Amino acid sequence: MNAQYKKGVLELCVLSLLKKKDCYGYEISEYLSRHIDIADGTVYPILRKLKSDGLLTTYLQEESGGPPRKYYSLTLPGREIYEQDRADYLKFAHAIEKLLEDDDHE
Amino acid sequence: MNKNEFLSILTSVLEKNQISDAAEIIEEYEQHFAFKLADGYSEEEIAARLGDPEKLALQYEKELLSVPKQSGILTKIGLGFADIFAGLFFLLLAACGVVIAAAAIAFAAVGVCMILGVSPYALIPSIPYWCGAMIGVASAALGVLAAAGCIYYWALIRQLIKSFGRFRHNTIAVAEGKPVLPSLPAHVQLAPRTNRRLRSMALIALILFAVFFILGFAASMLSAGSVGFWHVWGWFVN
Repeated sequence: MNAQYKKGVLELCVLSLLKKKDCYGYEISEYLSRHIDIADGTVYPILRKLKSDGLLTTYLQEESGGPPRKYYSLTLPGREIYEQDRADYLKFAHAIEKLLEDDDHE
Repeated sequence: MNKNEFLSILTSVLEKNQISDAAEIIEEYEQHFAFKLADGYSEEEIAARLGDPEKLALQYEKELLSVPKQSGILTKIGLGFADIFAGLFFLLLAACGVVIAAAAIAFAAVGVCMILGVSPYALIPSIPYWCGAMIGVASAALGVLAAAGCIYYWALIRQLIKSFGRFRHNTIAVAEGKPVLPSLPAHVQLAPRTNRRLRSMALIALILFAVFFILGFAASMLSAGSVGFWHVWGWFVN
């Protein structure tokens, strides 16, 4: 799949995960590579971009037996933009699906 | 490729591209290695699964040198004027809303009195009970119609105020170089179910009003034996 296109969808997946709970980077990377076929490292640049766009914030949390982990959390703009992008994407994906299925029956 | 090779390629490309906070970025990858090593993967496997470090480093965009924090004082003064006009406008809209609400209550009260056949303070002119009851139902229906309109109207005012609030927020955010929230639509946002209920409530009220008003009017004309039944019953004369 086109890398640029995939990146946009991955952003959406990251936001969707973070809407459920705050996660640290490795958790997000594992979650995504479990579901989607991507290189493990891809998620870190995405996290940074989302943070610099103001959709995410980070905070450090001490973990027993280890260095503090950097947790990512959705900001209010992040939440709103996610809801909007999600609706847009689902509408788009639904339209494409319909189009491709129609093609199948001809 | 082992961990050190991976990280050194990453670091050198990041530094070449003058990415700020390269150390923080490297830290994430170091933690990734640490987690994976603990799960029993070899450094080579982990590096391979992470992807090409050079390509990864190129994914980091050079952040625009953070915009110097502006106070956006001019914008705020401008918004202050906009607030005065918008505030007056919303006040006017709200006043109309109060009038509609009052009308809804008044119609409903008159309707209930006429259906019950009571005339508090002799405010309701004399009318045979059945004629009055039918007009009463019409009046109550009009009250319901006005109430539905009132709910919709207040929802509109609320949405307009929210939309304006978002516009203010974003205008300031742009001036201060902060992230902008998606703008809000300026038309009524009701849940589909509420919308359907409101619409059927208004439609039923409208039909009831029309039917019972015509019935009540006709019954009054027949009962009084005159088209202008109010003359026969001595309305509007002290």
